[in-house]
Amino acid sequence: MPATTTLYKKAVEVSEEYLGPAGERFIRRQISTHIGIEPEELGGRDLPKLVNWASLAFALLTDNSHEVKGFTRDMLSISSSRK
Amino acid sequence: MWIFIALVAVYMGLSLLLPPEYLRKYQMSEASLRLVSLTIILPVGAIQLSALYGFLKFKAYANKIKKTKEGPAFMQIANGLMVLTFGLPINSAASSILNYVARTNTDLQPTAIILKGYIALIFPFIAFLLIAKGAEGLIKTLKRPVSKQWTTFGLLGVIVLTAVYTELIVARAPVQDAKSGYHLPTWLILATIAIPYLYIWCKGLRAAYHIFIYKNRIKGTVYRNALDYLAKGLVIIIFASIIIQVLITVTERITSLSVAPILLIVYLLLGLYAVGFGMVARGAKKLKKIEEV
Repeated sequence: MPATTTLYKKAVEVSEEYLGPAGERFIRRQISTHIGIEPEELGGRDLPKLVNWASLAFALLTDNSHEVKGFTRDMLSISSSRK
Repeated sequence: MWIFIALVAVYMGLSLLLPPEYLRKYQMSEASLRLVSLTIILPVGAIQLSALYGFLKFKAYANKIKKTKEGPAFMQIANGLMVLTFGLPINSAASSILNYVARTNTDLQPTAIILKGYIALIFPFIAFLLIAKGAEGLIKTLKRPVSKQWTTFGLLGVIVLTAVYTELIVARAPVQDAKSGYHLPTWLILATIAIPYLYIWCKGLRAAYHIFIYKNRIKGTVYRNALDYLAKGLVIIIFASIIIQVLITVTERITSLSVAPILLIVYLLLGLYAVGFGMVARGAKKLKKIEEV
């Protein structure tokens, strides 16, 4: 499996933990709107930007700061697990 | 949307011109009567508009996800909410017109009351069938199948509800009594009012139960939170519907109360509807936002 696809899948997995069936659509929107690439083209260098935008967008969906922190932490863990 | 607002305006106008009959017997001045009516009409109008808001948000959400595997199920729930929402002002406006007919022509009073009963039934009947079908569709998208059997608690609840509701109908005043809620023989009330209502209450409660099951089985804390509002809102709306029907069966006992308890009952019911539709609207707004950011 290409590394980019794995990264995308990992991001979707994290997102689904918080947004359920809407998780994949959420990540696809963040990638295509803010990074301007096809979701399957997501590379390691795009991850910090994705984490920032996805965390910002996620914060608009809940007032629970623990959830926002948890989401950001889990998204960041995708980058650290690559190293 | 404009049709809906026009219907709400028709209801409010008619109700203001023709204050409720049950308030007339308290010998209030015409001004007091209109003022008391206004304290009922305005919240009813606000609830109807909040139901419209919730429906529009939910429909927009269902449209956004129509191509997903949950899409058709959510669309069916949205259609059910549409029937329920549009049924509110149609039912209120028809009820005001029929009240006027009954008041101006006493010969037509039984017909008007019978018609009112069936108009009040038809919209929630269609709405809860659609919502139940949608909720069933949602649990079909789950990987692990959900048992179709009733739980002991659910079955007992249905038995108790049926027994109590039937007892209240059978024990009510004779058909000829003008205060009687239905103006129909008992067997016809049981066959065409009680059984359909019991059926849709069960369907509606089961729909809410299915949404709860769906919510508990899927991932996503934020998504689940939004669905939680939707399911709880539906349960409250169904309970308010049950309470209204129970009150109709005991109309003759209620109308003997003084004005304060009657208004208290009306305000409590309005409060229940407001909370129910408010929760549906909140859940729908959250679900829609998830698909937008």
